[in-house]
Amino acid sequence: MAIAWPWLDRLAARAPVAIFVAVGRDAIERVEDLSLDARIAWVASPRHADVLLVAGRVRSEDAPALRAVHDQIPAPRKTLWWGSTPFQELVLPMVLPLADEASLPILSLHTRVSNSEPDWLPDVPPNPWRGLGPNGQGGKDMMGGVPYGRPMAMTDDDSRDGLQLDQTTVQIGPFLQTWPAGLVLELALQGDVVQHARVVHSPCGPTKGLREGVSSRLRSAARLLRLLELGSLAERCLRVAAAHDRCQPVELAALRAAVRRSGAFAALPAGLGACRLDGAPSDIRSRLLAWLGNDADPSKDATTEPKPKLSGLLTGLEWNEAWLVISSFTPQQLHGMAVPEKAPVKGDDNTTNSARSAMEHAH
Amino acid sequence: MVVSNPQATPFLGGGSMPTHAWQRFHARYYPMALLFIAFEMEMMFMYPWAVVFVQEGIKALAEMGMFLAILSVGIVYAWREGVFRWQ
Amino acid sequence: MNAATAVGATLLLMLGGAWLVAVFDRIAAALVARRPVGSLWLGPLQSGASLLVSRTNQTEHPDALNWALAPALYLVLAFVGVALVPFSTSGALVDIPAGIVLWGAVESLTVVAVFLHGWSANALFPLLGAYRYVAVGLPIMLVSMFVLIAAALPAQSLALGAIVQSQAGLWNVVRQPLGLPLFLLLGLSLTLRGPFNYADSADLAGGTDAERSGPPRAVWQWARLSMAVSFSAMAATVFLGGPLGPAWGTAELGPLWLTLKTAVVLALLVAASHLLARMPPSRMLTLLWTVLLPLSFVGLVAAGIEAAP
Repeated sequence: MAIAWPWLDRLAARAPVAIFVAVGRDAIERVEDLSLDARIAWVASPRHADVLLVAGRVRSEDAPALRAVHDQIPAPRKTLWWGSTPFQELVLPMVLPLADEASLPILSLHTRVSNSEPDWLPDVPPNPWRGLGPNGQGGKDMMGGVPYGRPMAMTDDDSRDGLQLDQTTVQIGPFLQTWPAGLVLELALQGDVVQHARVVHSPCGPTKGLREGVSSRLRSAARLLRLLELGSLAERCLRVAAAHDRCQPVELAALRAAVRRSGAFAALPAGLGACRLDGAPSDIRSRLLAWLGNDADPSKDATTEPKPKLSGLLTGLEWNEAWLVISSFTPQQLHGMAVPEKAPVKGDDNTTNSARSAMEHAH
Repeated sequence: MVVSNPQATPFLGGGSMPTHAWQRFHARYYPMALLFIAFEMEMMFMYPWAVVFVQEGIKALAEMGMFLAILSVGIVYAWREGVFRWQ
Repeated sequence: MNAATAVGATLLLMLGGAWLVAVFDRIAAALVARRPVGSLWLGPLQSGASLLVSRTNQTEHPDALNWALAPALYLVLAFVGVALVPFSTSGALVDIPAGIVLWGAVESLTVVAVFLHGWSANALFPLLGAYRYVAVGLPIMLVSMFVLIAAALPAQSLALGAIVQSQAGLWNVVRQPLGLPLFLLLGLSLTLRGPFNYADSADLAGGTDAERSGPPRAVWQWARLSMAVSFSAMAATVFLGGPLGPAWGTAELGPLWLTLKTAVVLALLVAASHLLARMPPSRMLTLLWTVLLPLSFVGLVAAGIEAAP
């Protein structure tokens, strides 16, 4: 249902185009520069978006997630493929090379094209109903068979206080704002506390062996600041980074002072995400400070220490802290830390999570 | 207006969640909420206290101060017990 | 002023005030990000229109009634807050002897409205947003109520009209310096902004708003802005003297002064929401209970010593 008055449509057409970006390989910097355009609004949820922007090459293992995210955009929806190859079955997809500017194509796609794209996934309920018996009947209390729709979560031990409460295993996918591009994590959550984490797909790391220059460190700082609800300061960091990319002289001291005044360093708990990185102990505060500092790029290959594992760092953290830790590493660092892990083999542990077994039945 | 199944799926960045979101997980601030109730009841007593304070004088301040101090011991105890951590 | 006119004026204040908050938001974002402001005056209307013309979303198995009613509840609470505020020395839309208590009820029910908004969607991100918000929304209510009771002490009454009259000599912002800063923190929490934005936050892809689109989302955003207006009017009344101010001859300028003071508090609120960082919930919880609440006690005791004869 939508309100349809013509003057409202004319007014709405002048608003910035809300885009949801599915970021693929090597495209995050182009997307961040695009978001600085006043006519484009980069939104966090596909429900708020008008246009899906697929930026950079999306891996084949991320294609189902891309279909899912596209279908979550409410009608009328359009897609722009920016530097990526569209799916085979699409009729007349709008494609653009990554080197081109995307603002005007997005604007024209939003205002001139009025047809909405159909779903890219079949319209089936999340679990086809299946009971135990030959005619689909039966099952013992809640455990036999798979209920129509989704099951309820079942209990498991909680790591913080040992109570047995509901635990659910969630796959947090690759297409989120301020999330490393391509990273898929499987989290066993009790509420908002991560009990176990597992890397399903590693992030699409940078293919060109980029040195971490001032610009890329400022962009990492901007991602972290956005998570601290300092969206405008994050935009300022991105503008400084863009200016540096255009070979203009930039001064970081004022930016660093502004971030310090906002209490960002005080807000981050000391010791959060503490690990040994590049031969020195660091936590999230020291990493943010290093990103906003003026010092030259430290030599990355100075140490042969093994990189810490991301899933180990996230265990036991609450949601906000976990996301902050994930965002406190640059894409280059994360590529070595987030190596895909196999699912844990269900041993002779009789207290396995029943939802997990139900999920296995469903697939 | 009915939306299709793929559109109604909860947004998880492209990921999936096999269960309903409604589940029984721990309200980690439950002990804090109990402490909050205690202070809320004190607030109830402060409403009429505020109205008659001036005519009662400093003696009323001392009485309410004692009430606050006793409850503040509760805050210190809760802090030491880790109630304000996300437990 | 009969009831119908007063209700109409209140609704107009909510609409116009919400638009003003959005304008301040754009100015603040542009100032902090060091970029020019684009489409300042029409921009909020354009964004609101684009929300209204998009389609409403549905989730798989929501609590349909609460899903529909939570934004309406939030809006009604903002209206109640604005209705409490005395526009002129002759009174408010709702003139009760315990205005502070009704405002306390508005604060509590806001927590309920935000929680219902997140819970009824039956999706992970909104649920976590609602769940975290309750943890921070409850203690900040305590801080604000102690601050308001401190303001009620010299007035010897819980009615907002009496509190305004008690500021005829000196405004409460000067007499009780801890009051307005602590009360502003409540404003950030009520409007889900900045350092207190645990409900609609960036690390939850929009939080309670993540599954929303269309006119219900427009109502939710309007309610957030109206709550900012309502809170600012309340803060202007309790700390900045409300409708008090020099009169122009015989003309009653109370509403004008109240509007100006509300705009000042709105500017402070918007500035704080763009300039302060948000902590993880457990850290904020510790800060609230161990620093901010004792500060409000200190303010209360100081106000008592100052008000006692």
